Amino acid sequence: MPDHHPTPEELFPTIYGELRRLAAGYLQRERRNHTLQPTALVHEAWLRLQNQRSVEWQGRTHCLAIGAQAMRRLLVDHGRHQKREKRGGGAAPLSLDTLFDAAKTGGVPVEDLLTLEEALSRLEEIDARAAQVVILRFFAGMSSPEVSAHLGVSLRTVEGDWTHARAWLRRELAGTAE
Amino acid sequence: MGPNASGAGTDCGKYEAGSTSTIRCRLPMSSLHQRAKDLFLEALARPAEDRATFVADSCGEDVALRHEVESLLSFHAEDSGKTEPEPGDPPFAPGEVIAGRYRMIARIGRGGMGDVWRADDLVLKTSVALKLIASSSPSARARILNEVRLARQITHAAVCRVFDVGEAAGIVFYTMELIRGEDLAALVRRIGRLPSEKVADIALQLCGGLSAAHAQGVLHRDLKPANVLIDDRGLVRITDFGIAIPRTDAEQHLHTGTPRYMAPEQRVKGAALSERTDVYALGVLLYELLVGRFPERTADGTPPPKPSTLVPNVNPRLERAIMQALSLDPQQRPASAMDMAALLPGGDTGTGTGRGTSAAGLYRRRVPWWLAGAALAAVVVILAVASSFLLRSGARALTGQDVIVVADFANSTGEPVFDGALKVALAVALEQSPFLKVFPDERARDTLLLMRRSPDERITPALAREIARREQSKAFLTGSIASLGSTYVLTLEALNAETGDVMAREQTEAAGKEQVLTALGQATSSLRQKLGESLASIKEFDAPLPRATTPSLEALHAYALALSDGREVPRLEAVPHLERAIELDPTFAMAHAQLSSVYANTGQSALAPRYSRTAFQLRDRVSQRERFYISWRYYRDAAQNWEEALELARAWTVAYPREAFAFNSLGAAFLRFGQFEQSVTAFKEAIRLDPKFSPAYSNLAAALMAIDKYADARSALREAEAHELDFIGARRLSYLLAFLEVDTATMERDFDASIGVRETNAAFGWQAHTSAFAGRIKAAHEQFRRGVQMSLQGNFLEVAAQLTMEDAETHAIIGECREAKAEVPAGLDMSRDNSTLERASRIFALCGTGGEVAALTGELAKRFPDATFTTQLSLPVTAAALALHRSDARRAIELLEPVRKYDHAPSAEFWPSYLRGQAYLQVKDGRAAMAEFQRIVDHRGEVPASMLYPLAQLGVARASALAGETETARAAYERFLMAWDGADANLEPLTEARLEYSRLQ
Repeated sequence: MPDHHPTPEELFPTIYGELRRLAAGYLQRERRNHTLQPTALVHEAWLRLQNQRSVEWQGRTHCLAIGAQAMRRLLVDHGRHQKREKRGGGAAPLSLDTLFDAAKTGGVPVEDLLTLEEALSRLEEIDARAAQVVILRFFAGMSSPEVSAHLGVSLRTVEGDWTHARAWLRRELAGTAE
Repeated sequence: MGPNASGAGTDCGKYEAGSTSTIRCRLPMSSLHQRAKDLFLEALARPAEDRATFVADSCGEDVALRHEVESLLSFHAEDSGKTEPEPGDPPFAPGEVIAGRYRMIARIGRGGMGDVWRADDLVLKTSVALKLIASSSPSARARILNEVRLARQITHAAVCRVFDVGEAAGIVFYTMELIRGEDLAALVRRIGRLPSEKVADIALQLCGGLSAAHAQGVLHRDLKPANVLIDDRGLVRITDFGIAIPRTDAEQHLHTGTPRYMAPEQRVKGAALSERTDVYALGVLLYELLVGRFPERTADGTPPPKPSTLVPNVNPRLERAIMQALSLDPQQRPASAMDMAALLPGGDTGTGTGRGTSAAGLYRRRVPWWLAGAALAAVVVILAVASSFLLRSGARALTGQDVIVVADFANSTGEPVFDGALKVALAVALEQSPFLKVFPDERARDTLLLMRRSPDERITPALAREIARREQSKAFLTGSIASLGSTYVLTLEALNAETGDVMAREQTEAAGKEQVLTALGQATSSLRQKLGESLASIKEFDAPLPRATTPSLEALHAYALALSDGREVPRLEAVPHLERAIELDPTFAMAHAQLSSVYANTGQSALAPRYSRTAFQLRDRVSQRERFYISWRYYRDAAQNWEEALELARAWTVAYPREAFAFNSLGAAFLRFGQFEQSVTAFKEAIRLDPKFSPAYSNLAAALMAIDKYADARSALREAEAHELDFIGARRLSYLLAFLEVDTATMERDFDASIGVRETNAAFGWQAHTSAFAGRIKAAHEQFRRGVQMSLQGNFLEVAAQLTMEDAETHAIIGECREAKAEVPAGLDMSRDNSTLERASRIFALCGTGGEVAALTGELAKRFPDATFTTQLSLPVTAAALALHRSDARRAIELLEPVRKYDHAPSAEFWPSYLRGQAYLQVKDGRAAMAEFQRIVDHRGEVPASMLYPLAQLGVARASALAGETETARAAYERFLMAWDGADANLEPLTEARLEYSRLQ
């Protein structure tokens, strides 16, 4: 099947299934910490799919973008199934920077990911493109040029969105800590 | 620009997000948001001190807007100090490309020097391990460069290959071979210790690697378990030549190395280091693998205790070699890694000294030959990896994963120079294609072994085709060269592996010997194109063939049908396929072993031994992986020697640390011995390795139930269900769990679901046990009878015999010996398997029929001499029951003492504790009796529906009354009477208990 790009509708369930399996494995192993590396997970899911079936290399950003959406869905589903403990009085305010840094270097507590996801969905309501930029950078681990190419908007726009969205999210997260 | 001039929100229409999200342009919310965003970004473009004025001016009267922008700016400002990476934190994110070449994928480890990442090399299109060096001071940098320079000189299969060194964001990194495995330190932590043979095998591999390094003049100087990786094939790689230094510099070395593994001379500044320094570290490492702990010396320097004094089954040669390597005086140690190797088991050539001790020779002899080939053909392998990566990125990307098998060149020129060279050249030329991967030659040789052919055999076109079919390769390629005077004619043909049709053909001539390679290259290019098109039109094969040793492709096909749906554990339906496979190839060891497995798992244990024995006899003809499985089946199904089975399973998990089946087997062996915690760990590992390996879930549930973790057991069963595991073992566990949880609805559901399934007439037995548990012996009897009847109809004689005996045993327990004895002969007529014989002998012993006991136990001892639980558990228990019946309680206690270690084995079914309790009651030792009965009461999960459980309550009552603890006794009597509230009238234990209880009042 030369040059067949699977449609998002075809890919989403596959990637979602793969992510869920991977995430479940990680969560099971790390029961005590209950952390996830969302970016690494998305990449790993994608790599596995690539090995299993002929998901093409050119479709990388395309697949990762879908993977990022799937990751969000996974978080939402996970949150729904878990009785959530709200970040209560004693908890330190959730810092976006800590979160982003943690995502680069290791595990992010699932609770915090859920909080971020909620904030992201609020951002999506009022500024969908900026939310998209954050999702692609954070969950899919894309660089700004990659995001720019993927969304078909200028690099400057992407960077503006990214700068603004971070400030915006930081404020949102500071709010949740109260 | 004024506050309202920015055209807020006009972007919305133009921008199209992916189809998974929708854009909403809602006013006024987004309008405010958009305006604030624009102002925020504009403000940021200005110097910090101008921003406040700019915002105030731009917003004018719009307070909401100003607040929003100011607030955003404040949250932006907040991060400016923080976005700098903290020291020590890797500044890279997954997905990021560094040095323009490596895409970071995920962090896979943390080393002393820095993190290790998995990364994609975008140039070579392969995955690598990328090590970041945390401190990049000039000296560290120099050291790393040195390390890489040294490490690159060493090419050996047991040394991790280093590829490249670079720098990104001021951090030095280097890349090396990505090995999917774990380090030996982790392995030892996980497994405890390794068996002697495995240590010897690792030792030889390490000697080979070290020797290759030493030959380059490089000492490792920090050899330790954490620096040795082992992959899923059991091959090791030495990593981290981080502090290795050229030997010529050894005199000036500084204190580097890990103290515990350092040779004495390494601790002395300026002392001369030599190969013997690494030999010492190797000795420490091997000692640790073998014993599971570090060799401890006393302060006076006496050698550490010999491994054989600490663990069983140590090969004496291995021990001598290790102890010699651990000598404090370097002169006492083996002089080199090669000398060390010669001391090891399997390390001598047997043909005198000095011969065959080259690293390559050693390596070839010890590891499977096909792996040795890998080392020699490193270039080809790398090409293969590169091209498999290219498959995904290639411009044409036809079918992605097409692998083709290449036959040996037919050379009719009479010039041997063409023999091997042309095939290699062809493979290299083919590998340049973006859509082709050549099936690696060493794997083809491996497949030849499975076909029970010599690995050195010429791969003729016919063989190439069979290899292709077995390995799910669509096509195979043949080539020939012939001479016509001074010109050579080269012919290449690609053929469809399934049909044998020619897919593409290319012929070319070379004017002289010198032109042959060029001509071959051209022919390959055009063949590649034709082939790519043809490959694209072949449909994928339906199912992969499993890998198993048989020369008959048809037999392998039948075997594949038996394992359909990817099952590793075949079901009853597989029997005809396996029988067919054996008919086609009577020496097909794996088919025999699988058949044994089916019978053992479906209550037909008497049929299993025949097949597992045959497989075991054929075990020398199969691959190592198969040999483990076959031996496992033999020890389990035929010999029933669980001590051997446990040792084997341990070795298996070491040799194949990625094989779920091995861990499942290890767990099963622990479970048999009643070592539940260990079995839980093993089953969990099996599940982690292969979440689709369904038997591990129900095994895990069984182990968890035995340690009374009912909720966890239930969730393991739920997972089993999620994996569509619907076999009788899981149903039975679910039923028993529901019984423990007093969940009659689930019990009914499980019972109903099990009746009518062919192999599951035992479900009547489950029901009968729960009836007997409540003292409803008549009901139990009826249920047992129905089960027997249905089993007989289905011709499941062993199940019928088991149910008959269990019924008889129920009668015997409550003293109804007439009924019990009447049933035994019928049961024995149905089957004389050992479980039936064991129960029969116990029934006769409980009823005091000594002659029958002697006959049956004699038969057991003779027919099952190696069966662990027959000889060490069942026979003593029967003898004790008989002694007790003859009122010889002392003798009974004596007989039961050695059985204590099996008290918790599920097949003990509480008998040792129960009989011991009875014996202590007889000798009026209330305290001792209490302890025995209490053990049963405390471990109900081991045999949830055992009738001995309520009777143990009665035992506790009697024992505590005897010990003068009236209150405890009263409570225990009440518990028993309550449990037997609905019991049949006039049962002996019940009548007695009521009487005793009333006297207690």
